[in-house]
Amino acid sequence: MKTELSRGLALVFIFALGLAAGIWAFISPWVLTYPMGNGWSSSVWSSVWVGAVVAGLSSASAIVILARALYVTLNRSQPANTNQGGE
Amino acid sequence: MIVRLVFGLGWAVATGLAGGWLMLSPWALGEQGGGDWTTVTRAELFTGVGLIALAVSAVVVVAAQAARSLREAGVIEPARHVRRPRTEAGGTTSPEMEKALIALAQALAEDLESQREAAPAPRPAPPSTDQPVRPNWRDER
Repeated sequence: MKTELSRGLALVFIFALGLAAGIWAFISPWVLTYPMGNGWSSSVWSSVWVGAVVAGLSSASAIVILARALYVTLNRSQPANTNQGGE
Repeated sequence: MIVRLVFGLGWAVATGLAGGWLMLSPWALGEQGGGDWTTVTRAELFTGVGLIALAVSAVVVVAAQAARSLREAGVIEPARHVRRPRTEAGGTTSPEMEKALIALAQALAEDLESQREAAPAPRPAPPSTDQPVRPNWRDER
């Protein structure tokens, strides 16, 4: 059960880095002041879309993996707890 | 394992493609001319490289975890780092080689036994006359 959580956390760490990279890609046009004459340029659209997709995928994947790891960990540790409580 | 595999590899593919697009987009969208790289080009290129690096690291982590899980399940044989016994000559021996050598030694021993039983015990050969007789240490006294 510990391995499930630790292995899940290794992936969640990478997903967190991906989330940070996605957020950076999303906000970089404003941070770095991309040229925006008449509305958004194609590079702004590209950066915003890529950032949104990467951030969304990363957060969704991190939530799923973390939830799964917690579910497995708690389900496996539950019978031991009930046995201890019954005795 | 399956959930981690699917989400990890799916995320890696999507992130890798997004990073590749970000790297190429300044040229694909015609934002970068032939001159020096602009701030936009540098930012998108380095962000793309970072995303690709993250995708590769995710693939490596997922592959390592899958291999470990399969090894634990017994599907893959665990990697063994067994040192083979070294002979006096310095070479390594395998169990098959050891068995063959033992069988050979036994056959030789049986052959010698049968030869001894068939022939009388040989007498010590007299010293040949061709060789000069060396003085014994008793003679030197």
